[in-house]
Amino acid sequence: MIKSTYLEAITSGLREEMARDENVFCLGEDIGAYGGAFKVTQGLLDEFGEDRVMDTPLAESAIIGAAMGAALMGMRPVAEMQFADFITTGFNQLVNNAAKTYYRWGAKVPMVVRCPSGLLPNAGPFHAQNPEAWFFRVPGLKIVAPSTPYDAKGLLKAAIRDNNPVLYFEHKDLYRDKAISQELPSDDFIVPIGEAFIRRPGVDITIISYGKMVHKSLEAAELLSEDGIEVEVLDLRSLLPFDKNMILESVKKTSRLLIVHEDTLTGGIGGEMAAIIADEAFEFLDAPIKRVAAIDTPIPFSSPLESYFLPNTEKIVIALRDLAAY
Amino acid sequence: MRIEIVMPKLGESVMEGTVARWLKEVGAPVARDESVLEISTDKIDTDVPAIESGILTEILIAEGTTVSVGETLGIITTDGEEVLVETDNIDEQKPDQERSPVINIHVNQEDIAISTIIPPSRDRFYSPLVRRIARQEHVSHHELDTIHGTGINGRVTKNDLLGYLKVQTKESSSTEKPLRSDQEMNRPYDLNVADITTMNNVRMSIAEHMVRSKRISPHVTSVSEVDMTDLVRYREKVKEAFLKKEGFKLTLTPFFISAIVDALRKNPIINASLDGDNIVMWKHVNFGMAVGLDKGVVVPVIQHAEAMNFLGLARSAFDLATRAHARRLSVDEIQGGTFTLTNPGMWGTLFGTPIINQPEVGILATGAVKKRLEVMEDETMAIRSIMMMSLSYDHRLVDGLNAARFTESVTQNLENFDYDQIGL
Amino acid sequence: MSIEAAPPATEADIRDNDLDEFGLNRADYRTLFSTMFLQREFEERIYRLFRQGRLEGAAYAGAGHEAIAAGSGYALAAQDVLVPMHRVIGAHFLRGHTPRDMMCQYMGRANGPTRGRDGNMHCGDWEKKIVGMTSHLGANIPVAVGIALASKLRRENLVALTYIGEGGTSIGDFHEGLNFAAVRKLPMVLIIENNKFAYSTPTELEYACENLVDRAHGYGIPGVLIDGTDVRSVYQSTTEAINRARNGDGPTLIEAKCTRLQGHAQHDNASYVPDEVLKDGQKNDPVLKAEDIMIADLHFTSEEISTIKAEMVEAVDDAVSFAEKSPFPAPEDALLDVYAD
Repeated sequence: MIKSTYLEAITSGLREEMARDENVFCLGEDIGAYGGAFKVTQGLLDEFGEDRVMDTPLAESAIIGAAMGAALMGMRPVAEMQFADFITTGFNQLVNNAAKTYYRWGAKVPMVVRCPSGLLPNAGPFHAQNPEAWFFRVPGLKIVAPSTPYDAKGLLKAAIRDNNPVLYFEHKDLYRDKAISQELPSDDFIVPIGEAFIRRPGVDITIISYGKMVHKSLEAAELLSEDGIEVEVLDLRSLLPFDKNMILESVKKTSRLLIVHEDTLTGGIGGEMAAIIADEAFEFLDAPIKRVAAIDTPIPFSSPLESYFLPNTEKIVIALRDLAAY
Repeated sequence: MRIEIVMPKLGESVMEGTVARWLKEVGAPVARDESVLEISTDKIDTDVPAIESGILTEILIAEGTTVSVGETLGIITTDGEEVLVETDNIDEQKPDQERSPVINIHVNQEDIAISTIIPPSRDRFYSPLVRRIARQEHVSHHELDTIHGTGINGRVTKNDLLGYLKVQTKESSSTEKPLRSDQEMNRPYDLNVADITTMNNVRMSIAEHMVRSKRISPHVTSVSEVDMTDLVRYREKVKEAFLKKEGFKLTLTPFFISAIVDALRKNPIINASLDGDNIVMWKHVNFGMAVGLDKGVVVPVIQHAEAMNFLGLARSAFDLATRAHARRLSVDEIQGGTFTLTNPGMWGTLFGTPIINQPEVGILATGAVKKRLEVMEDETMAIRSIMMMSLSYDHRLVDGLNAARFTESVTQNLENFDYDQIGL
Repeated sequence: MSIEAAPPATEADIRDNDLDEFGLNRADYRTLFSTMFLQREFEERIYRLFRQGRLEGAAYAGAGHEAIAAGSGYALAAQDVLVPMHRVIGAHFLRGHTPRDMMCQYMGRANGPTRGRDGNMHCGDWEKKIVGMTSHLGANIPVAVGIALASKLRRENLVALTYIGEGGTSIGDFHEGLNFAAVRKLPMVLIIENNKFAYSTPTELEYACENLVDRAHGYGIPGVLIDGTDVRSVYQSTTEAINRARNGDGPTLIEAKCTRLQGHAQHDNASYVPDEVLKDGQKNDPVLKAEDIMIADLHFTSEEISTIKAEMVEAVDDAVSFAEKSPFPAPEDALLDVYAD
């Protein structure tokens, strides 16, 4: 077992997959000698050489398109967007080219696009977004968003081995968070795409969440436990496909649901989950389905604005108490 | 003035740094922007320059120690006035500036992206889950209406319903069979000696209720007589006019109801219920009138009868009885009663020993009105219309004295009816 | 009949087997001309079927582009990858998509290359090393770059050939893709099919430089300007570019000038094209020019030419009747294959 931070887990996942399969290679901006903007790829250039840890020009569309071309050839590229926010400049290659290729003419596109996403303090509107909702509605793409080092490594491996284009959202603020470091097995392991995980079992309210908000939800659940309310925290881990069965089972057990995500409220994927549950578990609901999310604005820079913008433990607690009292 | 040297944040996700080397000793002077120490982080090694000129008076973190971003590493003391140093603590307001408070911890619920809970409306709302459980457990809608709700605005929650069901099963779990068929019949029988059918729901319901009522309340029945002569004559006199005016027949029933409602007002213990050790004195008189139908008895209730005048009672009674016969009563109209009137006299019965309609504590049965030869007060004899009246009452709550006062009150009201109130 | 390889060599072909200065022999010319004529015949038939109400969707014919299609397609080796756009159906034929395949594709049948999932020229087949295009023109370039990248990383000696219209050179992917390929010296060839109009937009509203091939200098790569109506020039320049790529010398930008002889699509009558441009284009009709070469330089008889044409017409007739009898996909098949296993 090796104690790893979230970031170290991703690095070791990359390293192991590149060692295991010579078709796996990394491409992106500043990932080679510089080791990546967040140092995720640090050390990999020395180990695997510049053919497999490739510094590209500043060109997201070309990066993603080239990743698709290489994937068509049977390689398994792992493209990095320096910040998830920059994926928009490669949007077309992802949603119209990569996502639709297998459906249209049967050629597999086994590629991964790693996206450092989520808010770091004062990162502002273009370095802090959670863009998963834009892609959630693209059939042909898969999306994962781990919240722990174990899942970060396991899901990265699963994504690399998957024969479809996979968006991998790694939350920047979890990279070096010592509080969530874990002992990881030294043998190979994967976390299957499409499976959620109950981080905390409970009976009174279900929280569905992913990414960093899982940890905020757990904090809130602990506070409510002091009042005798036991909140079940379900970590989605995969956003597309997502684990509908586990969600329905949990809601049927607790009959009250809160969805928490760091992405903004309107059009965030929580709305889709709520619609599905309202449809398929209507008779198991003893309260309306509620969501805690960021407010519907661009991400502001200054600290007081930012803290108003963001969901946090306090806001989750308020929502949980309301639900419990309903 | 003390200026803190803090561990700077270099790089987006860097949370900590290490003090690599102090470039100055304690007591040494430093100039503004001069490097004071070297630090190293995951991403970069660099120096920390002084914010102001002064003396390095304190080194708080030793070389080789790793601390979080923002921690104080050392102190530079300068000459000059105390000035607030720029820190992250932006709650502090400069007194001569108007600054609105920042970092709201207690956010206004409407403003943040938590869609607020809208409490359910006052008319009893049952969530999909509660309705489903009710359906599965055969809890009728009007039974749901009786359950106490602990949710917002008295909403019945899942737990409220489940709690109610648990109590129900506890009550009935002590006897596994329903009370109504508590004892099996000892006599054997078969199709040769008897025709056999099963009781329908209404029958079962009545049977259950009657057995339970007798078990709950120790029944005492007291019988009295009422001289109905004046009333009968009055009715004869006005019945045509009444029918013409009101469109329905004037029976004795509204007279009974009127008399009883007044008597209940004066003897409120008869208009009460017992809930465990609680005596529940109902504020309204919800007057139930037993109506015999082919398949059984139904008791429509005149709600808030104490607020109605004679005509109101007459109309209400007629309407409810008509709809009872037509099977068009709503659920609300057969619940919530506080006292019941039954009239076996219409079939010729002299008097009865009626069974109390739970959770009430009294039920009055009026017998047939019969012409009899009576000995009057002045010891003359006269032919009078006499009716017997029997009150069954729950002796847990009602004593003979209360009962007697009550029936005396009813009798007085009937024998000295205030015909003016009728308005004919 | 389908063209998957060269048609069988005739006695004359065997007799006259020498390669000429363009590196082509008689059999090659036979194949090239057949392909060009087939493209013309096939696409005219498509437009006719539309006007007859027997086709749905849209079609974007490559009349005027036949030399580019056949000449460049023929320069590919078996292991090379074709990343086509919509006016080079001749290259599809050379790589193994038959007229039946393409007609079923246009008619949205279950046995077409995309099983009805996409229409007109948006088909691909990795086994034939043909990449399916999208409607976002230019998006093909980074994909070709990626294929070339993989080829280089794996030392596979394989070249990616792709195309763009002069209008498409305005889009970001042209720049991003070409730059990436140039920086990394990737084995890719990009042919600009400059047919003077991007839908209705003439070149003077599309770019400001004299010739698009001038941009090659900006990317640090060789640029070649050719007459796109001359199949020999196309073949020769593409071959040279492919060889350069295969030798590790990186990408080449070829600008092939031609004229679009029809509207942008079957729904466009191209009234915006000035008469003299159209007339000039018709005078330089690549199929007619190829036919002239066949007769004048290669001494094909008019009988042989007629036979070839008749065979191509028959191939198209066969494709139409085959496709019209082919089944449509089941409606619920729409749900299948969103994801690969």
